[in-house]
Amino acid sequence: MPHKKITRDHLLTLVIIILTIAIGAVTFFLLPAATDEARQLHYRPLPFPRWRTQQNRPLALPTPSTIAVWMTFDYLNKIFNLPPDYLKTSLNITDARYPFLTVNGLAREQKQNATGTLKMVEQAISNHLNGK
Amino acid sequence: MDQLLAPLFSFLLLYKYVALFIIIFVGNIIFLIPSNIFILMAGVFSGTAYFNFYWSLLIIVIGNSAGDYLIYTLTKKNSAWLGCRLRNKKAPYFQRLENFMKSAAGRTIIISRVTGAFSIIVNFLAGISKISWWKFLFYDVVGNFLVTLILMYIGFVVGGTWEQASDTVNTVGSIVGVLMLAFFVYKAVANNKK
Repeated sequence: MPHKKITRDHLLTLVIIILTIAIGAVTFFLLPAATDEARQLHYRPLPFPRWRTQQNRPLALPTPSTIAVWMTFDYLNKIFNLPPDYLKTSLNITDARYPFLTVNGLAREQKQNATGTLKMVEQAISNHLNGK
Repeated sequence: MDQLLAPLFSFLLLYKYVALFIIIFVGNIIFLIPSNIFILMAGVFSGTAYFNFYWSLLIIVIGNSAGDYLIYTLTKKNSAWLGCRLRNKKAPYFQRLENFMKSAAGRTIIISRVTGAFSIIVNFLAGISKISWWKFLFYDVVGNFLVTLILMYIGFVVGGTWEQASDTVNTVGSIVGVLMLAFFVYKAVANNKK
């Protein structure tokens, strides 16, 4: 009975399959099963302890200074854990698309400069985070 | 970069997974959209629980593979015409590349997935070289899965500092892409001298 020769391509395919299954399994089992605190903060804990901060959050937390004009208010509400209508009230937003409205969209709607609007949003978020 | 991609980032936040699929799919067909950055962003959004990590991973792999498969299918269907035109013009060089692609399809397809936009060239070569459907699909899905997982994970970890990470991802992708192109040229020319 003729034996099929095992070529380098066969071995490579086998290595790739094993690697894929291993990485898939590690991802599936170690990636976030969020803790209660993380769920409450809308953050998922990082998979490996050495990558966690003491607060169990990603290394680079979003801060008001990292927000951008392309972000939607829905996203901002989520990442800063803001009450749904907080920004709507504090920035006097009347656009019906809120919270599915970008900072840029708000600037256009209010006929203002995008940078100026961004500063206002940053300030409003900072005020909330500082408990003002 | 951020300024140019800003409307697409907004699109992604507004329409979530539908936008993710469209951006990744289109990005794999045309050079202009750096799909690796959007994979990284999906990881960033997963880190803030705005996107689901596993759904994003699945959608990106499907979008990527669908885009790759479209290019591959189109070139394979027209390989007789395309191959004839190319062989007539650059006969020995093209023939060498075609032979190389046939002998090292798996490795080439998997490595090329790291390069983002450059992978279109490999999809094109795979189609013209008439690599089998299943072989292409297998290596393409595996390559896309591994690269997507790594990029999403980086995005997941770096969170708010994604811009620096995207520069690194772009640089690595470009270096691998250029090395790959140089290797193709070397293969075509070096074999030709034998």
